[in-house]
Order: sequence, then C-alpha cells, then structure tokens
Amino acid sequence: MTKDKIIDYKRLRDELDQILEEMQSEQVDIDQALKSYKRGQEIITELQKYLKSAENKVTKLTKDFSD
Amino acid sequence: MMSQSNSPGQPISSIVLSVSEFVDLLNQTLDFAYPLVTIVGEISNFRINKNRWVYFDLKDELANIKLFGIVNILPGPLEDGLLVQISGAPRLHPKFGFSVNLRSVQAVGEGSIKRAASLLEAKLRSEGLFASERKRPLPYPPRRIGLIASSQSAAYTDFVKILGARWAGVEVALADVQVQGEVAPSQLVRAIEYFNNLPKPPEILVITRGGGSSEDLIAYNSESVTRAVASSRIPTLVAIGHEVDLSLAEMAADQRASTPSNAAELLTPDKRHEVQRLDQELAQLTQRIQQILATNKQLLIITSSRYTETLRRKIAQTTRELMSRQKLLLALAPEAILARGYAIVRSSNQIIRSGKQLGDGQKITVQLSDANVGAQVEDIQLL
Repeated sequence: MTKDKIIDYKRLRDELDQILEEMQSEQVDIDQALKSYKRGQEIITELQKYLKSAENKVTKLTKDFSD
Repeated sequence: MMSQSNSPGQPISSIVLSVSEFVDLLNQTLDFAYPLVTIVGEISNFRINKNRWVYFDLKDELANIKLFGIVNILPGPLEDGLLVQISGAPRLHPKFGFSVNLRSVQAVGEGSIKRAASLLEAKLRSEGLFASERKRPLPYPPRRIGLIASSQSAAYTDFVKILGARWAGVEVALADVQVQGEVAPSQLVRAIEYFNNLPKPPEILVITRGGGSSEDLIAYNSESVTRAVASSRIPTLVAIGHEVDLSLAEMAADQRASTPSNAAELLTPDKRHEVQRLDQELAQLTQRIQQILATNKQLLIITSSRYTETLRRKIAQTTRELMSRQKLLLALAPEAILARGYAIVRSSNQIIRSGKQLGDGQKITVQLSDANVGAQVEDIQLL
C-alpha cells in the first residue's frame, strides 16, 4: 500500500460532519439534500476503504544526533 | 617555557623552574594523565558571576576542591548542598590555584535530582514555559509524526505497534537518540531542532521513552531539553513511562501522555470504532434522505390535491355561470317569445316593425309559435 493515495482524513471527516449537521436541518432543500447525501456516501466509502487498507509507514532517519 | 639547561632523563628534582614553568609543567602533566575526570560531591559556595561564569566547591567529608566553568554547561539552577556528578579537566591556574574546569554537571541521588528539578521548575515556571495558554491543540489524527526515541527501546516498539493497531496511513520518522546518559540531553535537543528545521516538518513531535529511575529520566528534566520542547514550532507530545513526578519536558509539552502506548492512543481514534461510526453515519444519512424524500412526496400530494380542489371549484363556478347565461338566452329566444303569444309579421321576407310599412291588401306572413299563417291586410289603424 505504499502507493496509496494519502488522504486528508481530518478534512474529509470535517466535511462529513458538516454534511451530517446540514442534513438534520428542517429547512434542508431537497436538491441540496440529494447532493449532500451523495457526497456523504462518497466520503464514507473513501474513508472506510482507507481505514481498511492503508498502513502506517515508519522510517528511521539516518541522521546521527550525537554531534 | 622550560629552561634551556634541562635535558631528557634529568631528575625533575634537580631542575630549577620558574613559577610559570612549574604551572605549565604541572598542567601538561595533568592534561596527559587526567584529561577528563568525573567526580561526585556536594556543592558549596555556589556562585555565578556576570551571568556567565560559575564557581563552586565540591566537597565530601574529607576534601574540598574548586571548580570553574561557563554557565551554559549547567543543567539548570543549582544551589549549595546538592549532590552532583561533574566532569571536567583538572588545571592549575597561574594566579588562582587549582581548580577543575567544568565540562558537565548533573545532579545525582534522588533527593538532589528532585531538588535541582524543583529549582529549575521554579525558574522555568516564572518564565511562563508551562503556562496553559501556551498549549496548542494537537492534530487529530496526525498524518506525519516526528518520533524522538531510542530505536532499541520498548517505548518505540510500543508506540509504533499501538499506532498501527489504531490508525492507518500515518508516516512516522524516527530520530534515533540516546534517552539516558550524559549525551541524552544534547541528542534530544538536536533531534527537536532537526525536525523543526525541516522544509516540510512533521505535524507533531512525539518524544518518548519508557520508565526508569529519576537518574535515568534526568535528560527530560534538563533545562536544555525543556526549553527545546517549549520552543518547538511543531506541537509536542511528551510521553515518559513513569508514575511519579512529571518531568519538566512533559510540563513544557503541548500535551503529555502517561506511557508510549497512551501517546499513540491520544493521537489517533481507534479505526475499528471509526469504521463502525462511519457505518452508523451512512445508515443515518440514508434514513434522513428517505425521510426528506417522503416529506417532499407528501408535500407534493397535498399541493396537487389542493390544486385539484381549486380546479373543481373553478369548473363548478363556470358551469353555474354558463347555466344562468343559458337560461337568460333561452328566455330571450324568439321561440320563447312566440310561445308566450307574440307573433312576427313579415312581408316579402322583411320583418314588419311599423304599420307604416303596410298598405291595404298587402300580403303578409304571420309567424306563430307553431305555424306560419298567410294573410292579407284589411285595415290599418296607426296608434
């Protein structure tokens, strides 16, 4: 998974939280709601795929800190 | 400089030296035999001159020696009575006599370590290094972590393991440093500075090691490390596995964690919970959109039934109007008038509206409601 796309989890998470909040509003317009729903679905799918497949990458720096 | 008359192999006792020559000779000998010594003793007569030079005596029950050095090598504020381990070069000063030129000083023994730490803590606190308003929020979850730990330590292994179990796609760059011993503070400081000077620095620095005695953890109580943590532009999380007093580096950090594993937990959500949460949110979204669609459908039905009702009323009204017009029309129709007993008189297909149009003997047609009657004019009396 080294070639995995690095996603900005926090940004997508924030966007999803905003969508969830908007969708709860009583005044939500149906066209907007449908758009938001579609986008929410996309984000959830992307985040789940990322969580299930991505791995952490640990690199040891070659730099010597003793001098 | 030695006298010209001296030659190798000549006993030193037979050589006459000037005072300066003696000092030089002794310093050369000391340099050769004892380039660096490590001594433990109690501080007395501690003083700092011009904020630059430090002088104190080191003593035990039987002896007392003088030490001298620059302030920068001190681990923090010190005071009389503290037990310290120093390293330095013994030297005979041409004017002030014997002293040890300090290279490093550190408190030893639990009591002294604590005392030195509390002196330093008071100093740094007064400078505001631990102030809560300095604390910055940590990125949650971070994408890039600068980890400062020993690659040989369980702390490193634990942190990476827990991080891997909890979260995905994090890049960790490890600065492998010694976390105890004399070189530890300078290595920790260099690692912190290294990350801070990177063109693309990590989002957070995690500085961690496992537990140990107060002497093992001394680097994390040093002034240089504490200041480096406090001045890091990258937010810091310091996690030292111990249960007793907090280290100064932890107090200066933006956040502290009780253990390396705890550090990984604080930085990241648990991905299993997050996957579940996303499932729930998808269900919630789907339910909500269905609700919104249902509400809109209902609204549409209500609107359309209102429309039908309006239309029905309109049709009824129009029908009523039509019927009344029809009645009127029927009432005004010639047939209806003829039926009431009136007649239309025509002559040569012209309707006769006046007696003046007629003459005696003129043939006329009288239209009744059910017949046309041919007739001839006999008498005309104009009214």
